[in-house]
Amino acid sequence: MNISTELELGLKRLCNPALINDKCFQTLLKKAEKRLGTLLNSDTTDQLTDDESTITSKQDIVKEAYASLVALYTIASRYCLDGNELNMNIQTLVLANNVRIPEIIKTYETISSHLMQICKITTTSLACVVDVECRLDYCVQSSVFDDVSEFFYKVRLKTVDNGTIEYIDFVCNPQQLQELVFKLKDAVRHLEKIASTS
Amino acid sequence: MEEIDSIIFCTLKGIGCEFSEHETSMTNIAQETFIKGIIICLQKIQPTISIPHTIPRSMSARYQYGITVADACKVRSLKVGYKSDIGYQTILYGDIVDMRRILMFLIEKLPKETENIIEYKNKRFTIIKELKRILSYTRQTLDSSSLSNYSFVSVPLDTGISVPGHKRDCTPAEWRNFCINSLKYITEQPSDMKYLIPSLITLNTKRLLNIYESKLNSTDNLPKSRIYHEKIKTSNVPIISTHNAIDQNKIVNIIKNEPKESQELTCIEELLTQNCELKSLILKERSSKENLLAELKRLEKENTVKVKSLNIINNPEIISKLKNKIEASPDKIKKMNNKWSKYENEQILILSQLNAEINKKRANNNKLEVVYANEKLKLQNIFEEIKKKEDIIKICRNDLESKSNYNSRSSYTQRILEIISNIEKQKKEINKNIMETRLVQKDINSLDGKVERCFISIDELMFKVAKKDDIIRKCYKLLAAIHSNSSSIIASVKQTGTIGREIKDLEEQIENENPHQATANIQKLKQDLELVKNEQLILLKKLKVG
Repeated sequence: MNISTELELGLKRLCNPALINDKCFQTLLKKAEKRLGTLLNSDTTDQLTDDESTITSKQDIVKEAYASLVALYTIASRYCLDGNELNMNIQTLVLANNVRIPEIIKTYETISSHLMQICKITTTSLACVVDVECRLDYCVQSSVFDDVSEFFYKVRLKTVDNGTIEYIDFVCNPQQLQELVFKLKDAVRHLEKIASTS
Repeated sequence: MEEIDSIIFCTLKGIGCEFSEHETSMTNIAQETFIKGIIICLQKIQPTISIPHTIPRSMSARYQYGITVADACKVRSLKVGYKSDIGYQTILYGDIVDMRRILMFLIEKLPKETENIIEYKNKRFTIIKELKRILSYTRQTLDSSSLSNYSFVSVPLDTGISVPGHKRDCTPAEWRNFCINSLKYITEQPSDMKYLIPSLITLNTKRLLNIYESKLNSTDNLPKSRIYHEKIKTSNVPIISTHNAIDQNKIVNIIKNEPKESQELTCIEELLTQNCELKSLILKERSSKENLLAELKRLEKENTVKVKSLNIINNPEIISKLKNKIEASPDKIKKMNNKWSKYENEQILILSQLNAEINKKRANNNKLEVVYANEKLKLQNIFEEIKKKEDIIKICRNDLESKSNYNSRSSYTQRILEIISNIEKQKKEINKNIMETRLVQKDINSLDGKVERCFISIDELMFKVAKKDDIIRKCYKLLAAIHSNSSSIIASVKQTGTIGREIKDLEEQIENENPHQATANIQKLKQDLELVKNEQLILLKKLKVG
């Protein structure tokens, strides 16, 4: 597990009682547990209200520490680490024999399964375009201008995202469409180049 | 043998034995490639055999090499077990027959493809099973989670942590203020929670790779954060109660931003409409400009024409020239007319000639068409006749086939064979008869000789005695008479024979002549002859009278 120096710094600050007091630390842990433990559960996301009155430490450091904590949990779950492995990682990489580490690990153990599930179902399969329909229209006049005299395409991209069909509609003039096509061609060329070199 | 050679050649090629260009058949195969082929075959049969493909140069090593190859062919435990006599000499100095025998044996021992396929199938089957098992397992685990798939889309996040060595676009104090007042908690930064995990992973990876995006958000918000800071200071709100501060900031933010934004929006809308109007105006102006330019060009052309014409009008020389030309023009017209009439006449003549030719050709064509039509009709008739005849042939064939007593070719051949056998029999009989007649002829000849000799001896005896005795003289006379009579009898018999033959010939001739009605013809000729004789007589009489 590799963690950037930025996150390392944040974690060090989190474990420093001089910067973040115990109460604040607990609140942050709870907040992280709440956020990550119920992440993507549609019924609970709206009702999350944080009790931030206990956060008495410096706002910027609290935010930094919180960000590092959340990132740490996410990355650990991405590598499917259990509590002990995470402990080892933190001990060797970041901190040694800190009092707060067991609590961090404890919180991680409660939310790790949920995070791992989410990591599993987060795939790189984006919605893919399966069909294109387009219609060329000619606008003679509009409510604003008497004489528009312009071609425009109404394009509808049919996409399949995780089995559900979705439509992406947009309108553009021929130049814009041409630009889009050129950009797509450039992308294809770029990909082919990468494929040929690799 | 050639077939066997070709089979061996093909199989060796199939198992990966390489041949040079001139090695096209077994007869001109090199010793080295032969040994290579044997080794490849052995390795195909038993993959554990490890013999180098190259033949060593030194003679002793070469003998050793030959022995190992021969042993490998012999050893039964290695599935090979070549039974015939084999040694290093057959490997190194073997003739074509030995080579062929060894290679045939090895090729027969080669593992068949079906075995390979079965093994391959088994392997594949196990792999597929394993895959299915794993897939079903993962599917179950995935199904247990009621969540649907999320795509890996990341959005930029900011932790707010300043790493030493990395400079931001603003002062540290400004950044801190921004972090305190404006920066959201990291879990609240993405617009949708599904972007959180991918974004966090991306953030970590980016930082690991030392990628820092330009802080657009931070720089954009910095002036604002400064304002907020001042506002906070003026409103004397204690910074320690951060929660309240955030709330107040929010309110101030809303109050301050709303009128500004609405103003900006109206401004932008106005500008947009103006921009559009200007664009349309530009387009219109461009089109009018193009029209005007076209008109200008047209006018310039007209102008040049007019200037030229004016120049011509003002110049008296040109006018006088033109006048002369005008005066000369009627003459010219006359000349041209004359020329034209001549030309016209010529052309008319040519045209009439051509017309006549065309007419001739047409007439010819018509004739040919008529001929063609006739020929066509004839052809049609011929075709019809052919058809009819074909029909008749068919009918005849059918009749012939349907007839019960129609004997096929075999019956004719049988008959011919019978006739031939008859002829042979007759030939044999004729030969027999000829032999018999020859025998008879011989007998006759011998008898004839005997009789002749008897007669001579008797004649001599009687002639001697006849001088003394009268009776014997009579006897002698009688004998002479008998002899002469008998010889005459013989002559007459011969004559009758020849006559009989002649009669037979004549009869044959008559038989031949009978169909030609020779008798009738002779009678006619006789009558004609008589008429001619009569006429001759009449003429002679007339001459005499005359």
